[in-house]
Amino acid sequence: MTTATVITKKERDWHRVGTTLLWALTMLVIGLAAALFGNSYQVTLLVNLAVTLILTLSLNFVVGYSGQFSLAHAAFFGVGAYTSAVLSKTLGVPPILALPIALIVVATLSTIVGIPAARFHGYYLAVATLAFSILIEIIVRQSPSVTGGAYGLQQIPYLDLFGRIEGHAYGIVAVVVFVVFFLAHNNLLRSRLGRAITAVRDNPAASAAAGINVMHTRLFGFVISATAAALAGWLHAFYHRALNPMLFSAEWTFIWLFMVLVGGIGHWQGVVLGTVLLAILPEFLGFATDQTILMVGVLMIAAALFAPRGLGGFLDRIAAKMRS
Amino acid sequence: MTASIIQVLLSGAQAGIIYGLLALSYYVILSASNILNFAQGEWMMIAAVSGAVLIASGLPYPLTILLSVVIATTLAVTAERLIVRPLEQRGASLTVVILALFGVMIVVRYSTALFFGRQEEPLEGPFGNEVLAVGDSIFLPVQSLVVYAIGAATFVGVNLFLRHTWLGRGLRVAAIDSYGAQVIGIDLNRVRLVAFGLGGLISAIVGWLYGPLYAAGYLIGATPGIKGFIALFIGGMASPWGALVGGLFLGITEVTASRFLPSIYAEGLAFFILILVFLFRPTGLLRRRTS
Amino acid sequence: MLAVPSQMGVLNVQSLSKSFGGLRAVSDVSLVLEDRRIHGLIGPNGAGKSTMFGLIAGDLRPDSGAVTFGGRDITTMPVHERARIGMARTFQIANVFESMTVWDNVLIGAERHDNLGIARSILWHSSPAPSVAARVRETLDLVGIAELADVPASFMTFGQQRLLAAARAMAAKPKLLLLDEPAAGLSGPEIEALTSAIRHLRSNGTTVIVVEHNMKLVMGLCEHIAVMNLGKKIAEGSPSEIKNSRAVSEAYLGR
Repeated sequence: MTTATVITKKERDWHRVGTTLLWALTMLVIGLAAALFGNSYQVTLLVNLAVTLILTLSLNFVVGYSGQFSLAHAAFFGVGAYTSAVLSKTLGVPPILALPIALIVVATLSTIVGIPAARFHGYYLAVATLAFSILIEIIVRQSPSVTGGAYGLQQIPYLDLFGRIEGHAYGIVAVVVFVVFFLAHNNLLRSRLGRAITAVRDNPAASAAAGINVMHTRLFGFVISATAAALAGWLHAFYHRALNPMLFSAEWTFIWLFMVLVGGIGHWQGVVLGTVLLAILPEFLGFATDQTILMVGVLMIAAALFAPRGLGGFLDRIAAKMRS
Repeated sequence: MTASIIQVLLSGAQAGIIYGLLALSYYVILSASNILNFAQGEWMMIAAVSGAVLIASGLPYPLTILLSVVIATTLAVTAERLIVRPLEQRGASLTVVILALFGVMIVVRYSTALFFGRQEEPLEGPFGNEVLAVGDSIFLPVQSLVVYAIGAATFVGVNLFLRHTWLGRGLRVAAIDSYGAQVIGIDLNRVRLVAFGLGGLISAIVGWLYGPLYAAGYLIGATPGIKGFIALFIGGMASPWGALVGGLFLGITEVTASRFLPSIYAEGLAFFILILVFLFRPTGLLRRRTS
Repeated sequence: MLAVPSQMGVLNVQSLSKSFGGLRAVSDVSLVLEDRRIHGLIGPNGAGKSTMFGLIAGDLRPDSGAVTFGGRDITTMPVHERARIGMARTFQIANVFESMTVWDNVLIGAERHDNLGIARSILWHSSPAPSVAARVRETLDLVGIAELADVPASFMTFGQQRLLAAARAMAAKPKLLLLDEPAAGLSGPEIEALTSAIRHLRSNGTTVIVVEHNMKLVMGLCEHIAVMNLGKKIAEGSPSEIKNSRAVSEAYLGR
């Protein structure tokens, strides 16, 4: 019996490392190919896809793995983007340096929000984070001197890494940033802390009994997800080099949540696939007509009714069939 | 000075009653089924927009009001039957239900935009547009009186229903103790259906209070819809009066702020107040009665 | 394992009292848990055993009195800190991590969660240390659920989940193990596995206290038994002393 468990454990571990590396390598290769050989429209699509993937994976992390229903994601994305933009445009900070600063700003902000938020569950948390998100949007719109108000910011400086980064080069940057994020994300999931985060979601009482500080663990899940959203904001800001407040209105969190649902809440493989499938559609990139918005609404209802486990659930069923 | 205070109170109460009624519609559904129905604002919009269409086609007022309210309420009930009920029966998680209702909100709103256009039409209520003057500095639109009267009547009526009818009492406890409720014979499905219907009805009435004051158009349900549940959380969910307290507090504070403070503060005020309430008094402003 | 002088005991409960509303659930109870002993806490329904358990485990704070663990005052120490200084416990309901495999459930019990370990968790791919993994394997074998290692906990039977919860607590190699009605809902063979696991742990240095209704189990397993009734401790001693105690039989059977 002891031999059997040794094999199981080793096999499982390898399988996990292997899966992550396989995904990372595949996405790196495809992404780099698209960045180098795609036309400018395709490169834009690629960068937007990288940004959206970071957003959906991090939202999936806080809602699915950490079990906290946060509707503040768009706000952290926006604060990350605007902080980066304002730092570089108004204060002359080099864009590359704006990244750690923006991450720290959002980490701090999300800690302040997250400490009371960790007390709330369910609707209270959703409504509180939604109110916060709308409030941030309003503050940004009402501070034209800093943020350009409703018109937003234009002429944001170029990212500069031994030369101006735009077009294909930025595509490469976006792919690399995403893959690094992805590896960190998977490291976290496989780590003791990742287990603790999921344990707290499943059963806070049992987690505390095992020595886990529930409050700190929950707070970390909230903050790390917000910080990732800020990373996405930075990545977005220096490619498009223009921002406006509609970019991070609270509705976007629902759109990303929908993508997470399609992928499968708590299932990163499904979320990656689901996001790739949906983010290609212009609806999810901000160009939407009334008809397409209507269609998204119908899709949301359909997904909730007919595929609540999303692609991840579908993948699970296939895996289960293959095992038996 | 006193005149402007009175004016602010009157306008604030008017907004407050509208928020409060919307909050009440959220409360009814929440206490019956533990669902926060993001689409509540849209029934109000449907009542107002269909009202505008029916008036334009020449129907007399009583029929117009009745029909538009029926249409809105029917839609609400349909949403429950077709979408919420199957989800509940499958034990769908909170996230899934919220997303579905957000989807309903989008579908209702943008269908209206597509079929009736994006324009905002004025909606004239049955009591007209007259503005009464009290003294020489207080102005009271006739519609305000309508809001006070209908608002009060609706609150009292719904409260009586919730307190003194078997169904109403079932509605109040179903979510708190769904197992216990079933044990004493309450059909959760039926209670939820009634709750959605009642919530839709209240929201539809609000459409006829709001519409004549402002306008009818596909977007009018958006902001009041959000402020409606914010008002509920501000007032507290221990009883239906929490909705009224929260609504009035929000309405009066907003009008006061817009009157005496620079306008940039008014927009975010509701959200700011909610955050303060959550931080310092999460159960809401209304004190819980330990019964 | 540090040997603790037996007068002090691993856990020392001094004059604990706890009331709920007007009801005195625990009334001036003192107890010493001696090192490497298997203790039992029994009593009729409503005796206050669960409240005592909660006070020791950290779910509840006493109105008066103190709890010391290895000489340290832990009366107001939060639950997760008690776990970190060597106390492990089970719950009346199994409280497993439903979405995780059996292996991961026990792994969480075996790992030290003294800090978040943020940098380590993000910067590289980490696996549990071999010694920790070995402990998980050992504990699974001990309790008899090793072949279920890859099964998600939600697919286990009720009895298996209880064994899993016990395994998670045991994998921490605790100084003190608190078991709350561990045998409830277990089949005969499962109870066998549980008792032999408890004995094994004790011989490796763990002190155990079991709150139980299953008299056969308590009499067979526990070396020292304390009896509570109506919030007070009415007797304590060896199983034979308790069996022959008048006070105890009166408490259970009534006058």
